[in-house]
Parts: sequence; structure tokens; C-alpha cells
Amino acid sequence: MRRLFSLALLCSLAGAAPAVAQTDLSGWWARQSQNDNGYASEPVDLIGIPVNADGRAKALSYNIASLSATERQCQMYPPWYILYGPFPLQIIAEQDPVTQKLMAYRITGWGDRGEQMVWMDGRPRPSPNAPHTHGGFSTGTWEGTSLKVVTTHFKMGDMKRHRAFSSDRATMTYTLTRHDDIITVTGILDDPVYLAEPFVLTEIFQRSNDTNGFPLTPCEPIEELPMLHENPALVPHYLPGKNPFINEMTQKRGIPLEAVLGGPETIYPEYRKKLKDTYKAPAKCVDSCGGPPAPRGGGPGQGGQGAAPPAGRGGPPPAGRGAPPPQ
Amino acid sequence: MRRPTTSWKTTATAGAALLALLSGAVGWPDGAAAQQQAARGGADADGLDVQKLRDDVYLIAGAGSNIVAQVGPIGVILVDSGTTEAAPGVLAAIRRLTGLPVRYIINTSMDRDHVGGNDLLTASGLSILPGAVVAGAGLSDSLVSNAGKASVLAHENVQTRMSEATGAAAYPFALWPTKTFAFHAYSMYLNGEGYQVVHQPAAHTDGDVIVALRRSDVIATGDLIDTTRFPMIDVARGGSLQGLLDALNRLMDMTIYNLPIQWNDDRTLLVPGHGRVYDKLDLLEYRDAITVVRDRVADLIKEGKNLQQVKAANPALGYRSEYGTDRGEWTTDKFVETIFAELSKKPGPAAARVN
Amino acid sequence: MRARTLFAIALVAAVVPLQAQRAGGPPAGPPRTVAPIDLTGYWVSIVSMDWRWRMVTPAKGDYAGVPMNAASKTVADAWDPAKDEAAGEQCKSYGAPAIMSVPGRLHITWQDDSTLKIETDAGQQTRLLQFGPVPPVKPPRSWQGMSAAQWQMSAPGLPLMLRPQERAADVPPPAAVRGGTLKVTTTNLRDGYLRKNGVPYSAEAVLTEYYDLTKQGNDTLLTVTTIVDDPTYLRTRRLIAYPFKKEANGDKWDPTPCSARW
Repeated sequence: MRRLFSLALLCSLAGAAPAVAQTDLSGWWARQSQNDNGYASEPVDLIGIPVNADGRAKALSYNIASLSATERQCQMYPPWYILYGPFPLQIIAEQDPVTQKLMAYRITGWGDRGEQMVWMDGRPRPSPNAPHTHGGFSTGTWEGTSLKVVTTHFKMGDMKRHRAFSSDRATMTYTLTRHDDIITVTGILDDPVYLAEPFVLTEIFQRSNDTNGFPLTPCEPIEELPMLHENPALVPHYLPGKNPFINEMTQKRGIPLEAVLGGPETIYPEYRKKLKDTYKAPAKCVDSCGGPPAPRGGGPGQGGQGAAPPAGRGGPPPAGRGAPPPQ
Repeated sequence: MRRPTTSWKTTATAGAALLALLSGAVGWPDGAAAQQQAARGGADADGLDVQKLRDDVYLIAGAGSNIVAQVGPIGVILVDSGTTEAAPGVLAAIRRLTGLPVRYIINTSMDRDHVGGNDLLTASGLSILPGAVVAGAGLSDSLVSNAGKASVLAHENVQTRMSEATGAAAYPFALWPTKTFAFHAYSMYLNGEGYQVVHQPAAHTDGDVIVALRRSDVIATGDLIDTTRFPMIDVARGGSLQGLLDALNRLMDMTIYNLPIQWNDDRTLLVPGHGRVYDKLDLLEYRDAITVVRDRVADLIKEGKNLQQVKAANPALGYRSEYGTDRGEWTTDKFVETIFAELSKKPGPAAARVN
Repeated sequence: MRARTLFAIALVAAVVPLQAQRAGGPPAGPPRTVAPIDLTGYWVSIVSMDWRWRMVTPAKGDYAGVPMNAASKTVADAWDPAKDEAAGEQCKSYGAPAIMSVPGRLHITWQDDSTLKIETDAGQQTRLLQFGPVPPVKPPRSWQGMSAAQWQMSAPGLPLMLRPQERAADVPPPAAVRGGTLKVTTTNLRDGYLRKNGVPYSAEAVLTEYYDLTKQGNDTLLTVTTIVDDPTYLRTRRLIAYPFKKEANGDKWDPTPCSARW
């Protein structure tokens, strides 16, 4: 008898029939960041990015001193930053005051950039000739249980902070799917200028009540390296073949240079056959190794929360705070 | 960059924006028509795309080149006039904006795709000049008032080049400017707007001007910026790489970016000769691309490379997809060849890079 | 006794239609028939994230990204692939909590109307995702454990507050796209590795996954959100989502055995 009753209970718990998926995305969501999307240590790092020849060349010519141009100082924060930045999300549903239907989702809560309005009312995109903005223009549609957002008309920016760049012709598509207390974001960046094929990243956000963890301070450019302001025609860049950091990841982690320089071939399983002959793991990890935090009152810790370091930490010093690297 | 200690909440701004939308203060085009226009990439039935940039300033794209139209109390001021073939469509587009006549055209260079509409558009317009001459002065009213047609301003070199062209390259007289200036700038207040017309010597050509609409903070750049290809340096008509870079650096000085808060969209708008509307970051990218290509060619020349070797080294790599083209009269290769030729004559400026 | 038996039977009989009523979605039927999304086919890993921990065997001690605790680090620091090979445990890093991170291909089919089968070419693993009641007798622990699957459907009508506002009367609203998610809960595991360099999970770990589809142009993407709960070795849940791209066929299917080193 007890067994029969237990069986009944198990039936109800086992989900013999489908359940209803949640779709309400409103609220505060904290980034989990247990992947390396935001990781940025070695200056030349295109691993996992399907760049084309132009994208690779642009990345290798990049000199971080160029950020001393005030107009560039916030270029790291295009819409794609939602996938690789450290900040959380606040999602607000904007209702039509009369019909109560959904006009837009306002996605905010990102430090360093403003909110993104995701228009749900089917309005057409701006003209191809219209000026672009940092946040671009976004429309949203429900696809089953997911909100699909398509963003165009955004400005050039970083697709990996200080390492790889997206153009003003990119289109970003991302889906937000809620699963209980988390949202999975799948992002697809399509850039005919710098990518050989779409760049796909995912990130997970968890429901949070801790609104104190949501910095809303904007990116405010300031003057940094004096010489660019004394001679505004200067353009910091590395000549082809002269980037001094190109071998750093290989030296530190044994990853072959070809893989460090990215490309579509390097993101599929077949590439492991090539790597097997060319990759030699270092004897042990020496930098950005993660692991549990040090015990209280003990010695130096081995990493923060075990998560990948936030974007920018351990990267090259900001322009002006040390001599620029030699050519 | 510095982060202020106090947060900058955008709720009030966002709420006001939402209210503006709901109240119709921001113009939403009609549903079906907008969908159809969107499907055509923004173009109307004439293949033109009219974009409102400011309250009274419009971009007319698709006329062979970009046209800026400023609508004010006395009528319409145009920067450039597109091609001859597109002129009727341009006129129709203007009529949809206002019934007032065209009063003045400012040409940014002598390129045919920028001056081709001068005849039709001036003839459809009205001179700003009184056209009443004192009896006995020896001048006809018609001469003074440009026969009642709207005026055309350009740098003197434009008229010189037009008048020198012969044969198949000849320009019909009706396309010539009716007013020229020979020196640095010619500025005027017209139609409620301040027009700062600044000559940029030896850039795309030797007759280029930048036209800054001061009150509206819109700058028409002509082909100093061309988003569809690397900027054309017309050496035969007095253009040069260094002059072009000087022009872009001057534009940098004249342009205000949306600082300090970059999601606030108030900023100078730049209307290039072809392609979408730019702002200062777009201009910076563009200028940097040209400078980097120049630096690479200069470095290869220093290594003793000849033209074929320079082209084989692909100095435009990293920028070819964004700015270059391999079709038409002005390809990426031609751009590199022109840079090579100029730099081979004399060295580029020292310390052009920070490394 | 009889009354209680009758009550229990009635309860069992009522559970299924009650579930359906609560869902408000399509009536309960064979999971294969009511599937809101089609997961079948061949899928290839897109290794754009965590490349240095997935495409290659990372260095010993490279633990970044995993919320390890001290016990976990002790185990990981002692990682020795030769010992795993000697013990016949080359598949330790191919268990269910880690298999989606291994670069390779998935082949998803219906084994029967209530069982989805996922085969992997990397490590030649097979997972059976069972819809319906949990078997009363558990099988022995295994690398792939026991997986209970459930469809999560989109409701037939969105709540009013989430229905998009129409802008213009003459523009028809876009057609609603039917959709849903597959939720899978896996237990009964053998202890294994979250990463090939010995970052462990215990036999008590619970794996929860969500399988979602996204269409992008001509491509269909599968995102597998994986959540590993393991108080033995993790300070917090391990949360990561892996993307896959659908392939037209199995031409690139390349079965390779487990390896403790590569």
C-alpha cells in the first residue's frame, strides 16, 4: 500500500506530462561567469574566435595606447558586452499604459554603458544610412519560451576586450531563455567584416535580490596619454609582424600560435587532431589558475571565486600608467 | 577612464522618452508603408532614402551621392545635388518636405555625382539675390540675380577644373558654380543656419570644401569621407594623401562626440559623400585606417620594397573588408598605388605612430 | 485497506491528467509525439568558450572557472592519468556532468517513444534520457548515470503583460513560434572529472540540464545549459552552457575511444 502511494507520488514528481516553461524575464539577474568569456590576460588572444584575415590583422595591429583617444575609451562596451562583460542584468518590461501589452524590454544594469531598448512592437529597423549608436537598435520576438533579440546599427567595438573587434556592419542576435531561477543567454555575432562565420557565446545569469551589486555608473572618458593630445594625428599601432606579445600565450600555456590567432578551423573538434601533435601542456599552471579561495587567516589565495578573472584584470596596464611597450 | 562615485540613473530620461513615443512626439512611419520602405533598405519609390537628421536638416541618399537639405524660412539650402539622372527624384523628395524653393546649393567638389543636379535644382529654385540693379549701372538684373535661379557656391578650383575640362569630360555650363571663393573659407548665415564653408587644399581634389552647419551641428564632408571605398585621391585634379589626412584631422577638430555619457545621442553628425551618417568615432576609425595603411607603406618603402612587393605585402589587410573594394574605378589596389607614389616622392611624416 | 488502495489507485490515475491541466499545454501523450522541439540529428560542438580547457588537456593545476572547494583541489592536485589508465578509468572525464564540454559530435535519436538517446563520438558514450516514471530499482552507478527527462512547453497564450503591443493595424503580428525546452535531471553517477586535468565531481553530484534550440539564418543551434550540484566538491553550483550546431548528416561522425590524457 505504502509502495503504491509512493508510486503515485513519484509519478507526480517524475513529470510524466509536460510542464509549463516560465517566460517572464523581468528582474535582477547576476552573472555567473564560470566560463572564460571575459577572460583577458595575454594581449594577443583570439582563441575560439572565428576571425577572418582582416579580423586577425586588425587584432594584431592593435595597440592599447590607442585608447588614449577619448572617443575610443568606451568602445569596449558594444551590445556584445552582455556576453563577455562582468556585469549583471536588470530587465524591465515596459507596458503600454492603455492596453498593458508589452512595448519593449529595457535591459539595463550594465556598468559602462546605457540601457538597451528591445522593441517588441514590430517597428521597422532604421535606414542603412542612419547614424549608429553605442547600443544600436534592437527588436524582440518570442520564439516559444525564448526571447529572441536582434540588434543592428551599433558602433564598432570590442568582441573580446582589447583583443578582437567588431565592425559597424555586425548584427547581434541573442536569445534569453529562462529556466527556473536562471536565464541562459545564447549570443550570435555575425560580422561580415571581421568574422569568417558567426561567433557564438553563452552566458548564464541567476536571479538575484542583491541590487547593491549592480553598478550603474557610466563609462566616462578622460584624458590619459598626453602625447596623443599634443599630436592628435598620431595613431598607435603595431606594424605587421611587430606585435611584441604574439607569443605570450604560447609561452605560458603551450597553445600553438596558429590556435592563438583564431579562425573558423580552430573551433571544431577536428582541430584536436592537429593540436595533438603540436600542443605540449606546461608542467603546471603558473598564472590565472583559479581554484578555491585561501582559508581565512591563511596564505595567499590561488584565485578569487574560482571563476575566470573579470575582463581586464591581469591585462596590460592602461595607457599612461607605464611606458608603452617597445616596438 | 574614471567612474563617478554617484550613480547616474536613467529612469527619468527613459520614462520621458517612453512618454514621447506614446504621445507620438517621435514620428513613427505608417505601419505598412514603413514595412515596405524597410524592405527596400530605406529607399522610396525613386530609390532615394530621406533621413531626418535634425529638426530641419535632412539627408537625401541614393542620388549618386549624399545630399544635405536644410529647410528653413526662406526655402531649401542644399549641399551637393547628386547626379543629373537622379535630379527629378531629388526635386520630388524636396517637394515632399516643403513647398518652398531651393535657394542655394553648395558643392563640395567638382565630382559629377555631386554637381549633376545643379541645373534642374537651381532652375526649380529662386535666387536669394534681389536682381534689381540701379539704372545705368551697366549690369542686367538677370546677371546679378543669376537669372532668378538659385545660386551655386564652390571653391574657385572647382570652376577652374570644370572650365578646363574638354571633350567627353566637359561640364555643361549649367552645372558650373555661380559663385566661387579662392581662399580659406566662405561662411554665411542663410536660412536660419550658420554655414561654415572651409576649403581643404589638395585632399580628394584641390577643390574640396567641408560644409559645417553650425547651429544644427551637421557637417557635410563630400568625398573626404566615402564609406563605400577607401577615399579616392584624385591626383590628376590636385588631390593628395597628406592633404586628405589633413582634412580628416581638421574634421576631428570640428567634430564633437557624445561625451561624457556615450549613450546620450547628442553629437556632431557627419554626412559623407557616400554611405551612412558618421559620428566622431566612425571618423576616428576611418582616419586611423588610412593612417595605418600609410604607415605600413612607408615602412615597406623604407625597407626598399618596390610597388609590386608593397602590394604583395597587403598593407591594407585589416581594413579591406570595411573600407576597400576590388570593383569599380577606385580599388584598394589603386589606393595603395597612390600612397606609394606619393610617399616615394618624399618621406611620410616622422613619428606617425606611438608604439 | 481496500479504501486506501482504491484511493491510491485513484491518485495515480488522476496524476497524469492533473499534470496536463496544470500545464495548460497540449494533452499528455507519448513524449516523442508531443515534443515541442526536434532535438534529433547530428550536432557538432562549437568550441568558442573555455577553449583552453576543452580543446587541449590543460596544465595540472589550471582550475579557473570552476567553483572548487578545498577537498576538490586536494583530489585534483593528485591527478595522475597513468593511474586512471591502470584502473581502466580512461572515461572519467566523459561522464554526464562533463560530456557536453568534450569537443565532439552528438547523435540524438528516439530509442522509443519515451526515451531519447544521445550518443557521442568523443569517448563513444551513450546517454538514455527517460521520460516518465523513475524505475523503482536503480541500476549500478555509471559514467552517464540515470537521466529523467521532461518537456517544458510554452503556454498556449502568453500572459497579457508579455504579449507584444501591435504598432499598426495593417501590420499582421508575427506568427507565434511553438517552442519548449527539454529538462533532464541525472543522478546515480560514478565519480568523475569535470575537466580532463582531474577537477572532480562526486558520485553524489546531481546534473540538471536544459536543452534549447535557436534558429539563426540557415543554422540551428542547440544550447545545453548544465548545472552541477555537488556539495562534496563544489562551493556553489557549476553553471555553464555549451552551444552546438546542427549538421546535415553524420558524414563527420568520428568515434574515438576515451583517453585519460587527451
